[in-house]
Amino acid sequence: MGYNTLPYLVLFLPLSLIIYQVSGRNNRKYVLLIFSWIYFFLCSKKLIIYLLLTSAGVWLDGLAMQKSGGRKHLKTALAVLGVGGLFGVLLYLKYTNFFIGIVNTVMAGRGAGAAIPLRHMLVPIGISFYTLEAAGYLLEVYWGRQEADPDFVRVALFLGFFPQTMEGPIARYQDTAHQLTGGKPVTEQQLFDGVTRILWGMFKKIVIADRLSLIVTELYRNYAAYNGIMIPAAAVTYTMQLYMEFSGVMDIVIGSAGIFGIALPENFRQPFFSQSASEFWRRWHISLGVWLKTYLFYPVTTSGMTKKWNRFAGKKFGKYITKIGTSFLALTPVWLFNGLWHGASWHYIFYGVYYLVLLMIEVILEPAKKSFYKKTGFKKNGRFWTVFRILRTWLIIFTGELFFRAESLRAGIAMFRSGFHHIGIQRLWDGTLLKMGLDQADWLVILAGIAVVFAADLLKEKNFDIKASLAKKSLPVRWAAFYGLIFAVLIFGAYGPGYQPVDLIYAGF
Amino acid sequence: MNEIESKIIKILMDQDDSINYAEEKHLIDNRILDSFAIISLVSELEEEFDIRITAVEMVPENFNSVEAMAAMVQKLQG
Amino acid sequence: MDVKKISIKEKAGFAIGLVVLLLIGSFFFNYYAMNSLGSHSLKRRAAVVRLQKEKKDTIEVLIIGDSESYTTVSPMQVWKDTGYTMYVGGQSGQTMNEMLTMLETGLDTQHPKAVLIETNALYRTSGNLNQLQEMIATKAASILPIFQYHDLWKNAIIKPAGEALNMAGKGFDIRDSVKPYTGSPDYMKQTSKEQEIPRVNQILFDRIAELCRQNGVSLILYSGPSPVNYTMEKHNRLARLASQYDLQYIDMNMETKEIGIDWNKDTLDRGDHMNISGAEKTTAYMETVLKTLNLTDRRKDPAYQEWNDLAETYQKQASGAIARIRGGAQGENK
Repeated sequence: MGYNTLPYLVLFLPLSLIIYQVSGRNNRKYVLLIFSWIYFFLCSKKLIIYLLLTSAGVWLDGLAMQKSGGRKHLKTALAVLGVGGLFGVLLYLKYTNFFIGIVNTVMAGRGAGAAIPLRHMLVPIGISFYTLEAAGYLLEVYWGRQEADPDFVRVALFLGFFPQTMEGPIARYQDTAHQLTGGKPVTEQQLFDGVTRILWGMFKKIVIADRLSLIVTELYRNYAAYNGIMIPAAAVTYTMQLYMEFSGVMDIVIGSAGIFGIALPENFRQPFFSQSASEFWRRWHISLGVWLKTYLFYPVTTSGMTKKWNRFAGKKFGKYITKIGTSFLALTPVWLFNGLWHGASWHYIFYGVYYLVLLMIEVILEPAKKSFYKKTGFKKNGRFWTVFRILRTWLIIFTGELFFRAESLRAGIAMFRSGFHHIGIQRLWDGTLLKMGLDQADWLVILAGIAVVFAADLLKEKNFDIKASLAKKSLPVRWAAFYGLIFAVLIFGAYGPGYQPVDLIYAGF
Repeated sequence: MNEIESKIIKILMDQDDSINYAEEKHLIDNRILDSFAIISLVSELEEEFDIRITAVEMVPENFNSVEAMAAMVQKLQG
Repeated sequence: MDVKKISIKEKAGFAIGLVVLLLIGSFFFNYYAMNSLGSHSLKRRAAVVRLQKEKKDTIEVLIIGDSESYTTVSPMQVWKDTGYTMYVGGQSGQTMNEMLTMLETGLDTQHPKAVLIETNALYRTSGNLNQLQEMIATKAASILPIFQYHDLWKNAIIKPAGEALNMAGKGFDIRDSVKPYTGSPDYMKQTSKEQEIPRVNQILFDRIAELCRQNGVSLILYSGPSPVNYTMEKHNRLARLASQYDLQYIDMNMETKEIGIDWNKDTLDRGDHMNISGAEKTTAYMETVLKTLNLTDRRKDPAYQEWNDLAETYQKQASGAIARIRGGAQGENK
């Protein structure tokens, strides 16, 4: 049940809100939990057992760590058991076939016969997301930054809260857990803010992303039939689809939770204004970046191995080389994890390594860049260089998403290479692209829609509060703005006869 | 300002001397220190004060201001 | 924006304004759809609009179903042979939701004595949640047509091609290509097993049956001959459904010999659908059923002169196509 579908928007969400509101303050958390489990059950049926066992296991493991008191070894063993168990299940469900594939390839290379048959795995919805949240909670308890929570309902809600089930955001325990069980009433203000946010998300998702879906599917499925300019077209259209879709769904998710008075962490902060690859990742899928930084990057950088390297290299090679080495040690696991987390496939691993390389280049070029600006006297924050860096980052993003979306690593490489053959730029307007299942009217809506979203992003980037300024406007202007948004979704939405409903992209990860 | 704080400011000034560290209370939240700055800072703090900073300490609250860092150092020196 | 500071008056005004705009938009889109558009712009909805545009209270028998319905019974042939007025409200891949909409449309503008349901759609499902989505969307569209026709704004930008609404065949088109079915002619293999009908479809069928009962319409179930779609397991379940509701069930798959189906010539696409040659036979078979229903022969009624004219044109085209198929080489394609 996607968050953009009518069963969710007009039945499930309103029903859960009403029952939540009429329940007493102390019962509201139970209402939320029951609805969350119903939601999970509707998506994954009996696979809900994974969520239930995970919730119970994490709750107990946390308490056990707390009870272990001074016995450090016991505590460590419990943490390893918990985190290991979580990732063990994830690896087993999502990655078994990937590893079987590797083993088979290696065995075939050695001339061994019979290959291990692939297994059909049923994967519960959102397991990639709640596994990270659960592991984060256990590490917080292990490090003593967070008391183990005796309240099972709170732990279960933290892992299963229905708006977050499919695509996150991946929350940290201290950020959302207590809000979830707070039983705050629904207020008129929350309802208004939430519904507006949901409408905005629907605009991105069904007006823009769902239109682009048709063309993206064609370009990547029949990639061999396209070359030259069509490859950048594929990269850009998919990047736009993914941004509109993922950030749009996040608007719906955060809006839904907001009606209950629960503030979920933001997942996007105007990513297309980033000036470097590293900045992009601080603005795109933020909650994943924060998780990786907190639970992977910092533990690695403060580990004994890294420190040993620091002491050793610091004396021997100087600051610059040491920093490069440290960065490499800390970034490698982060980006391999990032790639693999998206799925068991080589093109996702490539995607991770791609950003690892780019970030390493950033680290290596850092001093050169500084001296470049110093020597030439160019203003680093001058308009020209800022725009230049933003456009350069777009190139990096588009290229990355091309490999990310490709059907396989082989397909991605083939696409990338054929992008340099028969450029044929006229195909952008001679009908090749324009007649690929979308008509002129569709393209007009796509371009206008993207322009609207980017204008809104630009205003946010300039710290301009659209809603606050709208509140000061006269009544006709205010009404026109809201009617405009509502009717834009109703009239220009790609729904109804002639359109295929499009499933949520990130729900597949 | 105590001795620990002034030592920390000196380390920070070595990295980037354009910031008024004594006044800034949101070094992390405002992205003045990024994660790479933090790691080199950690190793310098360890050396300077002879402490061990582990993953446990790696939260924004410990690095948002010079005072917070000094408090963390004091705690670790125990 | 602080909602508390907005007066109750403004809130109410905004809500009323929204409702008014929705109604105006709906009226506008609906008017445009009904009066100036054809099959290209209307897409799946074209079949419904065609039925809506039939003269009021002229149709005695309504057929609904998926493509199996509009390839098995030809209203013009029925008219020519019996003088009964019949209309096929079929859509390719019709879902049960669409079937219900079609029935409601038919009951809205016509007073049919009988409704025939081609049963293939009963087995069509896209999953419970998708069907629920469709159910809500259908309901919303029936209240506010803007949800149904919102896409028509595109016509302001691009001039659509191929806009004619084909009203001639009363929902039936002449299809004259042949791709033989080469499987076993005895595809209805004896068994007592049943294939279950998806739960949501059973619920929707119940509403359809109830609607017919309330309107005093006799409901009949039939299955067109199609080795691709039908099995004995489905037959058994459908026969039980019919007896549960006390309905007549005609399964042409059980009668292919009596009907005289020639699987080399009478199928359009290897046993999925009938072509005009097959449809001529299945229509003739259906006429024997219709004759038991006490319907009116209107061939001499001057009010129905238009039907006689249409039938004449139809007859010429159909008999030409049939002659080509039956006389022509086996496996002729077009």
